[in-house]
Amino acid sequence: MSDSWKSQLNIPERDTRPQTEDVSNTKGKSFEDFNLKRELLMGIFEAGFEKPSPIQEESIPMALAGRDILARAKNGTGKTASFVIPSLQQIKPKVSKIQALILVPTRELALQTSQVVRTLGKHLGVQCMVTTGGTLLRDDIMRLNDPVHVLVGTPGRVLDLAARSIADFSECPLFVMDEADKMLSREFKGIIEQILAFFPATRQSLLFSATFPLAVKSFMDQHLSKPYEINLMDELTLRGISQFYAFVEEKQKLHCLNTLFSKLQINQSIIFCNSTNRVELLAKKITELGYSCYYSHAKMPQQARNKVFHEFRQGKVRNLVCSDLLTRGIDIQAVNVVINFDFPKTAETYLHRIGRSGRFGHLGLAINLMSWNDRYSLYKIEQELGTEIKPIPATIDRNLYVAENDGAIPRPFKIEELPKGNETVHKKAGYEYKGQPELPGQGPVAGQPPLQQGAPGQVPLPQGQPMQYYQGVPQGVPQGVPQGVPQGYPYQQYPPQFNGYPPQQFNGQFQQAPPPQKQ
Amino acid sequence: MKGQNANRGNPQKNGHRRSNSRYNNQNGHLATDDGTDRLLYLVTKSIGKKVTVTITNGARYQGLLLSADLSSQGTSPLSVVIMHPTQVSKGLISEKSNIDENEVPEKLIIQSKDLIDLEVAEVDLNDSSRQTPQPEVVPPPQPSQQAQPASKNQPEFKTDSDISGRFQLKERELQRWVPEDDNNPVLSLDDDAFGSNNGQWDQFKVNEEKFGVEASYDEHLYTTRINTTASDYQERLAKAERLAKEIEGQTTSDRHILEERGIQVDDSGMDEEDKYSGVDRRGDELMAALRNASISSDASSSLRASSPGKYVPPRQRAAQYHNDPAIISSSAASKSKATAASPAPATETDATSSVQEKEAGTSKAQLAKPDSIPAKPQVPQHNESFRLNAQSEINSLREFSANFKIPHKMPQDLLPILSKDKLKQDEILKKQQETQRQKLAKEQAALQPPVQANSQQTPAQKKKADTAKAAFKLNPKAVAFTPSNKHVPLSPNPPKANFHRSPNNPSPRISNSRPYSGSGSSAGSNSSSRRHHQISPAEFFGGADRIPTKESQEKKAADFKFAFSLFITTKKNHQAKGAKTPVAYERTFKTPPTWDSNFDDTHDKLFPSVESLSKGPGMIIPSSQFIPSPLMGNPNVPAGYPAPNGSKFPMSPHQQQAVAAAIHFQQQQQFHAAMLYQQQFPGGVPPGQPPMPMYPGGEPPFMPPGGFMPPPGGFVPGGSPVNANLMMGQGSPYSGGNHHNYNNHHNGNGRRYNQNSSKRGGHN
Repeated sequence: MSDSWKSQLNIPERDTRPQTEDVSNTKGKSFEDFNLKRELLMGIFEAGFEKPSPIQEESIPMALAGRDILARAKNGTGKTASFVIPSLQQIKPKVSKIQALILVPTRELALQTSQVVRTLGKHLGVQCMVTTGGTLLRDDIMRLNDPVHVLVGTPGRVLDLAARSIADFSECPLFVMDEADKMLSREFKGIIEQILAFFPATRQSLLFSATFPLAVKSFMDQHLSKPYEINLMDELTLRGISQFYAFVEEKQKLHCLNTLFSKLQINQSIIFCNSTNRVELLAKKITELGYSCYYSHAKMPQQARNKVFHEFRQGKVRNLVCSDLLTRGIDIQAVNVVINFDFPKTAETYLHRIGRSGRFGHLGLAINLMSWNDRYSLYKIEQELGTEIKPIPATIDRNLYVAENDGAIPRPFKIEELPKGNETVHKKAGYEYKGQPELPGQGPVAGQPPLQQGAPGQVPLPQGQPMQYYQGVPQGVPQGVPQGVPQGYPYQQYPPQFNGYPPQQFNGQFQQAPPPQKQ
Repeated sequence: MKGQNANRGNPQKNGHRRSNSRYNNQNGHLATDDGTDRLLYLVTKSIGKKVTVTITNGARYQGLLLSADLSSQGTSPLSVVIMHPTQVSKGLISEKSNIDENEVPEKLIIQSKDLIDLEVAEVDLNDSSRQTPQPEVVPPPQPSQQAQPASKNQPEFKTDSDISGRFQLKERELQRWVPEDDNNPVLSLDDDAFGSNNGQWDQFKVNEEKFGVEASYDEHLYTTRINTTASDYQERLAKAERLAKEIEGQTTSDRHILEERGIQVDDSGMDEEDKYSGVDRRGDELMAALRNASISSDASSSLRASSPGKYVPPRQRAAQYHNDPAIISSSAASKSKATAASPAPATETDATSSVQEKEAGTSKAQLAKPDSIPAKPQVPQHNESFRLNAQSEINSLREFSANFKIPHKMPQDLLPILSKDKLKQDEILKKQQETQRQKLAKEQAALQPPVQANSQQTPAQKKKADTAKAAFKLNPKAVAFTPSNKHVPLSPNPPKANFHRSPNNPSPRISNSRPYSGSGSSAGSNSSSRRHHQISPAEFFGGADRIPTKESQEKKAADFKFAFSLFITTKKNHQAKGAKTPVAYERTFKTPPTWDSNFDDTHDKLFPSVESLSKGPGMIIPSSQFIPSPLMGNPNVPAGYPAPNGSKFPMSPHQQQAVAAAIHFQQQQQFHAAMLYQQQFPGGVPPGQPPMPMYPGGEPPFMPPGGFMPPPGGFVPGGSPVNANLMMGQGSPYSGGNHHNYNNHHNGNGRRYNQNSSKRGGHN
């Protein structure tokens, strides 16, 4: 096979941050070993994927072989691509039917998953549609008038569409569930089963999650045929994440958070609260402290939720306060600190929350603000996860969670790279895809603006802006959050640099992050 | 070991390595750089193990693997050294060898060029069964992850706790966080909880003003674009609008669906963790409790009647007797009437009223009709009430025997049975004769069949009433044994048996409506024997007009010949209707599939009576009925949908059984949950709901749930083999490996559930 097409690819800058063996411990396959369509491979490489992660290595061949799959792998180790790639491979773009349904528990996750499908499949001419609540049902019905190959959605809306045969799954060969444990919990299970009834009996089902607190055997027995089980976890917690607790009084929490902001080197952070009121309140407080901050919870209008989600993914705000709405699946590579402002109730929530940092085997920090009432939750969760959460030290070694070259942290997607909607169908703008490329490297990407390789700071910042974003920071210069604090703010007394905390100080106490594995 | 070199190792053939490791079985993928790591790992693990080496000439040696060299020399990088080799088989090719055939050295070095196969007998790859070939290579940041899985070879898909395993972490002193500087103003989250936080805070505006954050969201980055250029756009739009309205207009009880339709759901008690992140583990316990509850009540309600000693809720007995679910509905439906009738003023004076009175006014007799018979005491099937009632029952029996008078002439042969003592026999006789006059007078009244009475009172009642009036002197003390102590508040008077409405009587026993129930168990055979002597034909046949004549008998005989023929009756009816259409014969029965359902239990085991739940596919479940109970969860039967399998419920019971096998368990259970719920709260039958067959509205308020909804633990002992079998057969999502647990929890959970729901019922 000629490799000339590869040279035409728009491969983004390599993410050179060290990775843990959560993702690097592979058998050494490459994406080319899977006999994927070239257009799909192009999408994969252009998304910055280099080689499959362990879960991808395991699941993609099996899924391509047509087996049902029940897979668990840690947070942020590439599960989404594990089912998106085989889905895209099996889709026939010329058949104007829904050929894959991907069900996820939350709307934001549906957006994100759809976006992964569109990024990986952008050379395939695959139409991926999102259907969730909070949007006009009428619009979704309208969208289904046009060909849709992949439908990503939340169960309620999908069932509404399927029950009226607006979305036709009678010939849909592929049924995918992300966050399968949540999808099989009581509130969703009945809906899922009703949706499944609209599928042909010969469908293929792919189930993925990082947690399975309850046995899903009965569902397996009834709805999966000889599922291939993949369990890539011998421990639950991610290796790249350092977890600490700060035992505080309730009224000290904000003070503690402020201290953390001033001392930690935060790329982006997600802060979890347990109630929507507290989410809003805290977000407000954080902006008052001088840090940019969005918030999101389920009681907001969906448009606002989408906006928050999108902008945070794009790295426009540094902090996001949210409820457990965004606990599962949300993949923002730049997040290196997760703060549990309120401690969660269940272990899987905890695990998914802290899994928002340390994506794809990178390093991250999880800090839990604990009050006296939370202590038993802490013990319980430690017990269930088999991990010990240590008290927060006076200073935290930045090697535990800060990547030196954070300019290379991939953005979720390059806005200017993505085809907007199916405008290629209707407007004949952007790239034109005509089935098979005439010549390797010519067809699909022609007309795409070349990516500014390695250009940091793709989102231009307004001049004179006090807040600095990681994209614009020269490599190697530690960037303290307080730099962004407006003039005159009392917390400027914190040293903006972190010279006072040499990493060596903690070598005895903390395990150094494993050096990047040279392959 | 020169393991370091392995990282740069050449691609190499690895087919000669065998082990039980999963990775090696897929050996096609090992011919890469990374495969060398794996080989290195395996070899490391194999050192010291007994190996069998095959070399190029076909000879095989067995010995301990002492060392191996993976450095790349030539094509195959693996050279091995084995200790204490013994030759297993000789070379196929007899060529000159360095080794003396009889005398092998202590250490045998086999170079890679000679090595064909290295077989390790029992390599312990510890972690490779968990698919992490190199767990010890990179130390984790946390030093605490030596957790071993509880059961390595468990074939089932592991849950989280299976993976986290036996990690034991004790409660410990938490180290308090101390703020470094106290100069800072105290920051607190609830500073302005009552101030400006009224939801007007616009995060986008603030962030834009303060930090210059601009929004760039465009939904078309995520979803497809609506084709507004289509020629029939307006048409489509209108159609979509209409469809959307229809869908959103449907009602459902499912919270998630409601949320997705943009309807505000009252989710008090649910935070966003419950909704979007956490997995409800209570499902385990609750479902087990529900399941057990359903088993105990279902086992009785289902027509199998597996164990005779088991308590059968009164409402379900009729069904069991008639083998017909329709009876359940009807008996349940008429219960409200019974309730109204039961506290009818009935006093002892009625019972003891004189014969003259009765002869004079039949109307009076009607009023007083059957009241004179003491209610039968609760049969001691109910374990708990049994013990409480037993003593009082014995006492009242004693009293009854003291006051009891045999209402007719004592048969002589009975005397020696009653008492061997001659003196006592006389006494009995004497006692009896005292009542004879009364009896005779009464008989006169009874023998003239009163026409008016027949018109207003069914003959059976009449008969029984008469029997009662004549037969018994009421024992007021009999009140002492009320059917169960829960029923005490019925009335301060002796509970009057009302045979007329027996299936509806709150007393479970009487509801059995056996034809001979005129005599209580306490009355014994003495009183019942009287009937054989003294019942008139009118009494016997239930009215003068029913006394069979010759003609009627002949007609009956003819009927017997033909009435049971489906074809004849259908034809006859058809002709009677005068329809012109050809006669259509109904199918009289349908047979269920004969194969075993292999995954779930049949409907009738899971439900008390789904059959009677005449819920159509389009039936709407008023959501509010079920939602408020977090225990119940959502009945995930979004009602607005045509059931995928076609309509399930209007089918025959037999069909339902077959379908039930195909329906998923959860659905059934949710459904069952709904049933239970309604059973508990009969007062709250939602509007639009067909009357709940089992326990419809109008349940007497004094009926405690326990009266008809037995706490499961009381009747199905947790460890009973019946129960266990039922559970195992059901393939519940939670029963796999866990059902012992449920049995243990059985009592507690079941009861707690009942309590909770009855509490909730109060809020309805």
